[in-house]
Amino acid sequence: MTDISPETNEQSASPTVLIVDDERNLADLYATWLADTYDVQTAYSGEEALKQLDETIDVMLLDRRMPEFSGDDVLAKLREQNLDCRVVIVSAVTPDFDIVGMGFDDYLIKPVNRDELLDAVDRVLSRTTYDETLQELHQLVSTQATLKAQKSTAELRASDVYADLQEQIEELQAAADAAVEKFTEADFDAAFRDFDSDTHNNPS
Amino acid sequence: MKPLREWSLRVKITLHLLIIFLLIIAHLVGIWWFPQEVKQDGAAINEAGEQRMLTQLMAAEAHQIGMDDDKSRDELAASAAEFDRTLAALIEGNETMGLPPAPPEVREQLRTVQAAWDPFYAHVQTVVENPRTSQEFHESLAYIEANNEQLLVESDRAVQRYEQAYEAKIRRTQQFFFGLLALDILVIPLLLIFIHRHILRPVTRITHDAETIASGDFDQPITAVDSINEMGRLSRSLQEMKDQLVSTVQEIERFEQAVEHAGHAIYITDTDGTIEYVNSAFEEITKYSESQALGNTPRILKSGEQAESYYEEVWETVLSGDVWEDDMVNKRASGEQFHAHQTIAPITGSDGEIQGFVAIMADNTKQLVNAQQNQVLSRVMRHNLRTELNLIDGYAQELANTDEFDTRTDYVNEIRRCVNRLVKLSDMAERSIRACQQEASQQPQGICAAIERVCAAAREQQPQATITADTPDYEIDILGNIELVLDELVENAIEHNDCVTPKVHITATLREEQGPPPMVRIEVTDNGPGVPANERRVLEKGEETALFHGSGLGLWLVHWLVTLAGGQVTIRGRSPRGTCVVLTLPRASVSTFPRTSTGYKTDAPESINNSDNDTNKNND
Repeated sequence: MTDISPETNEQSASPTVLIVDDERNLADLYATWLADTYDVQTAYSGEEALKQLDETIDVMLLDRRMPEFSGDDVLAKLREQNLDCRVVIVSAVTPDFDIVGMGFDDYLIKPVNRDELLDAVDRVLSRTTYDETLQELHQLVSTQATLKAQKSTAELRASDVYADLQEQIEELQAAADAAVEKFTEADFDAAFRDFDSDTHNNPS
Repeated sequence: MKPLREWSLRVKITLHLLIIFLLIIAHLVGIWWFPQEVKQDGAAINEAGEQRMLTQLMAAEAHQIGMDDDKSRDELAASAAEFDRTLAALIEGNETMGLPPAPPEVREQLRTVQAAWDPFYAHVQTVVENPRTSQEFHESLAYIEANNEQLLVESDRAVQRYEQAYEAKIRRTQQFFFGLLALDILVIPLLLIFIHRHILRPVTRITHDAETIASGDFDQPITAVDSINEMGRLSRSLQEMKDQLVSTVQEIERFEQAVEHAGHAIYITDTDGTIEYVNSAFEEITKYSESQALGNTPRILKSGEQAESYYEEVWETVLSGDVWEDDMVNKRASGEQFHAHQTIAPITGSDGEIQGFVAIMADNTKQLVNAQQNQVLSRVMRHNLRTELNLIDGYAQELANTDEFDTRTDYVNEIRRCVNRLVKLSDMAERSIRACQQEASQQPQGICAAIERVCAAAREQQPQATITADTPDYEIDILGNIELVLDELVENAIEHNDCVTPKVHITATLREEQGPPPMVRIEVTDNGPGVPANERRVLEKGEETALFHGSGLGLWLVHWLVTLAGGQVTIRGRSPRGTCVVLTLPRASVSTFPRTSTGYKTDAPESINNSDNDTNKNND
């Protein structure tokens, strides 16, 4: 799975990962795990995270449930500032339909182990090489996959939000098909690893 | 033929009238016929007497003729003719003379007179027509003188017969009238008895039954008239009416019972909102007695938690004929706030006009707290559990990856700290669940005593902090676990305090202006950095979202316990720093005697007597 290592990435220096969690011990633990591979920064609250956020941050690991300034608020600010930063949600909060439109690249539910965390960071980093359409498609498919894992088929079918999401994904897939020819094989593999598995399960 | 009592009243009454009519006819006939008869019989007796007189007259006249008086010849002829004509009239009857034909017994005598008269009349004619000198004259005169006596006797008998017949007729008439009288005496009582039995008595009974039922005695049975006529139909339809009435009344009574004993408060107002009915659950929930509530408006329940516009919206909704249903915060007579789920519906008459409103109100404070507790506990448990488990898992992984002894020890210690936090979390969760469950059956707790205990415990556990209290010199009881609430507030104030010497000050006062009734006001003041906004929301409103986690369960527990006790929490920031948490609670009672405790500043009550009067008033 980790066949595209950060070393082989286009970027010369190690990518920078910002870990945001109000639980200091947990933030520190994540930092320990990632420090070997990446440049790591930690923030113990939403406010701190916003202060540290800039163009140098490649990936943000974000807890949702924090006092005062929540992970969702941080994410909203990030989108406002139009920063090109991959976001992995790491939260104990069960995802509900409110995650649609949040715009994250992956959603991990606590507890997470070292491999899962590294894998997730690695995966979202590999996507930085895609064009915008594919990145957007990835975000939507990731949201879709998160919801599929948490909601029953009946719940999904009853949700208007989910129907809109599916529609958007279909549109973007059509656009992505046109761009596919420009891809190298490695890019292609990485790009479709996620939603290949989705479409196998749910050929919608 | 149908039995008599089955006959319809119409037939019975017609029959009665017919019988009475016949009796009247009989009387009239008797009255008309009797004078007619008497008149004719009188004439006949007169004429018969005349005959007797004529007999004597004719003897005298014949004698006169014999004595050479020829003038008497004509008179004799006239008398004889008169006698003859009258006799015939008497026998056969003569209308011009007003004579009826003679009755048989008289007629027989008249025939005898006739037999005597016929030869007598021939001799009279001979005497009248022949000269005195002739042989026939003398023979005839002799015959007249000889038979005159007998004719007189027979005539006299005829008169007597007439008189006898007349008397017999009088007797028969008398008998007729007596008979009629006897019939009257017999028939009229019979008719009366019949009317009484078949008409008056059942009507009276049924009327009495109906009147008894009308006066409200539904146990009164309707007299059964077992007949198919009008009376039977009346009795049966009255019975049916009564049965329906009774079942309607029973149904209403059942509804009344159901409403009266419903677990939810039910009250009915007129169109102006004036309360006309409350059930016993209303009294229990609102603590207003029926007599206090009746005539008042539901505004007595206003807590001030909802804006005036809210109540206007309620009115608009129900006045337009719609049902209002919502959760709102209301206030009991005792000053406690409670969360009410209220449904208000208009009561409309058959014409669709609104006649009043019925409101159903449930006190769902406990359910609300329970639901909140479930939600918060599951959220907190999930978040904290997963966070701690994540740490434990991570540390365990690291533990496996290192051989360094010191590092391994660090990880083990970290893991044990996680476990400790989890144990604490579980304790706290259990404690808050138990505290809220016990709250329902809470005994009154003295505020001053509780403050003393909380202060003492806090001083022991947190020697670096300065903890002071300011309580009145009389005890105030409240229904609620105030000790646990204060424990949490003091602990929170010290724990989050960043000063070298954390200070906490507790005051308790009885405030008249927040009533009536007077409320207990407890202030917990600290010199800490202030309460963050999301924790404030937890304390004051009981609001938390999935993404904001408050300080944990302590402040939630404060909110729940105060809500269950019917009180409120407000938080004021102090300048330059510090926070004042204000609890407003309804009091259960005020002791009139001073507390024996020393070591607290005293805060004299406005007036103990006044407070007592108020208490009494509210208990009335």
